[in-house]
Amino acid sequence: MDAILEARGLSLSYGRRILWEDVSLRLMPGEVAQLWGANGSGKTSLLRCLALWQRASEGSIVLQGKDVTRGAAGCPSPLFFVCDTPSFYDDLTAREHIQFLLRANGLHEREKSALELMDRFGLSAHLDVYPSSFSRGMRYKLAVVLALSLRPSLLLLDEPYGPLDPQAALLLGGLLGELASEGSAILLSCHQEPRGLVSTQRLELGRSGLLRGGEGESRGRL
Amino acid sequence: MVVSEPLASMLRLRLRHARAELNRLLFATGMDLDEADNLMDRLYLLYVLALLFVWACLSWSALRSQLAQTLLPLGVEGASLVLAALPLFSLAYLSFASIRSLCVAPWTLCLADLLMFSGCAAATRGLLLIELAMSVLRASLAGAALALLVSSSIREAPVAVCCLFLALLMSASSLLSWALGLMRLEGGGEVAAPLGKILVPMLLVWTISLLPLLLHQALSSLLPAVAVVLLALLPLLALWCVRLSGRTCLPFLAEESLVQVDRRALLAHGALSLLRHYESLPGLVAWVGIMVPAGLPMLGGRASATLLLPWIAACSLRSLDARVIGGCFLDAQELRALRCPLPFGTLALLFFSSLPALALSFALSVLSWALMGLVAEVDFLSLALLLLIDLLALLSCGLSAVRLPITGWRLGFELSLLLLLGLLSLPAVLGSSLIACRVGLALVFLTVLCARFGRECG
Repeated sequence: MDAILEARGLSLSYGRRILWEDVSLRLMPGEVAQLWGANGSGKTSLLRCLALWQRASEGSIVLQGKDVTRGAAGCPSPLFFVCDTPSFYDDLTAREHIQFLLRANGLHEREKSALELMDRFGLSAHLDVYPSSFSRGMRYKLAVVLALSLRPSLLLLDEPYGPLDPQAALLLGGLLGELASEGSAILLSCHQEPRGLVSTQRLELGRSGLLRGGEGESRGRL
Repeated sequence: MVVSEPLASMLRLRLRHARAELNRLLFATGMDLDEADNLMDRLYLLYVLALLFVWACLSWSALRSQLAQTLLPLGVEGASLVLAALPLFSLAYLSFASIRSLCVAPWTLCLADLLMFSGCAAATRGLLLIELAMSVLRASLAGAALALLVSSSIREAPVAVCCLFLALLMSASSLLSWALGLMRLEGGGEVAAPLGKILVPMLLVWTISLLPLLLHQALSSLLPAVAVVLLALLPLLALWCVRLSGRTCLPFLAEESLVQVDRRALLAHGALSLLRHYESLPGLVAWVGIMVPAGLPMLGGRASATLLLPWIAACSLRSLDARVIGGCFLDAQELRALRCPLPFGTLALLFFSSLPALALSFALSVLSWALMGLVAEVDFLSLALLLLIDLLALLSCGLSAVRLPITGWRLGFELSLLLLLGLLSLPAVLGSSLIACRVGLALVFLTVLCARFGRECG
């Protein structure tokens, strides 16, 4: 079976400062991996590189067998990255964000299930409100709803359990499990055990410089 | 999924943004498009639009008659020369847009775009193409409007041909600058190869722009022929841009977009810092309004050069006031824990964090120059000197943050300012504002080089 994500020999440096180097990791369909590491160890930067928000100084990223180091070709987008504080258009309401994203990806039929997800996250009363007035937790929930509606092959989440309340965190764990069972790969950075998520691989981006994977496939050095 | 669907969605999104923008503008008139749902509101909206239209027509007419009066003394030959020089506007636009394309992406994604279309080439390409089309449209409309304004103010000028020619030339310039930017995006920031590839079409457009000026005697017969050449060139350039848009390195575009977001954050921080340190504003006013203008007569040779030494000494004593211009930058330098993670070099941090204070200084300088004009005769060179001294004060902040190239010396802010003002004063013995301005410009250039290539230190 082909890996969903395969990063080979990634390294990132700012000027002369090397943040991490020779990071390789592989995520198979249905795999959920947690990225652990101290503050400032470069977890967010690694996620940004994998999400193609930033160029790694070296290395390559292969998504579903295609080299996407310079960008993913197709739509619907095979990957979705929920950053720590998601930003939204200030002239579109939450409902319009959902409608727009689904239409842009030719997935109109998923609108109903997306609205149900909004309801489960307790946002149904805020559907016609501009997300610019949302709290950080509400923004994160909306971004998660958008991500789950697309059902991307690869979902990257930056510290999802920071802004969410315990109930929403539990719900998110269950939903991520469902997405993984459909064959998507999930990578999330965290500082605490994810609630409601089972059988996840733990990767560490730490001072020792090692990014350890359960199967020994993932490695790296700071 | 068909390729046109993302493009259509992106177009709808951009139309929605345009509507929101229009709504923001209409807010000043008490209108809201989202709430204009009854007849009275719609009538009021029509009334406002009609009023704006009449105002625009009157302004246009006034501008035209003013220009016609200005051009009248030039005679037929002079007016023809003005008409032939019109493409220089397009040349200036091409130069500016090309330099900009070499420094930053011609268009960047906002944070919401990044979230929604993370790494999706089709969506990003759709957005790029829409922005490209908008950019070309804006450029051609600006060209046509300028040509209409000038040619309709000159008797017997070929108005339609002039408008068409400049609109086409501006479109070609816009497409060329975009092609340069897109090639840079393709190469992940590399500049040399794009410059090599764009050289031939760039030279062609330059030649076309200069032709009317070189052969202005035959202007009326020349313009239609060159317009035809441009008409043939435009689809080629457009196709080139469309092809290039599919080869964009998305992570590089995302990076450039995030840098733009960071720059805006720096600007906002600079403005906020200036407002919150309001206690230092009187000092800045005193520096720009009194200290700097006081040196002008000596620098321009209108007063004895022996007074320069006391002026420099006074400036040195009041250097804390000049420090306000780069205060936000110096604060960031002192807080090393905050400085390290900022993804900016010394010059970029200096410029973007100090831009609000620098803009305020420039505005105050212009005001003080205008006030000086009420009591004495002052020229434009005096204004240029005022602005140069503001800039040198800011660059002194930059110099204080680095070890100088080659020598490794580190000058403090006060010493840097003293040194720069001293060097600026040297040509005062020659008694010419123009020479002082030239020396000032050379000092700005040298200081920028030092700040760029010096090693930043904590």
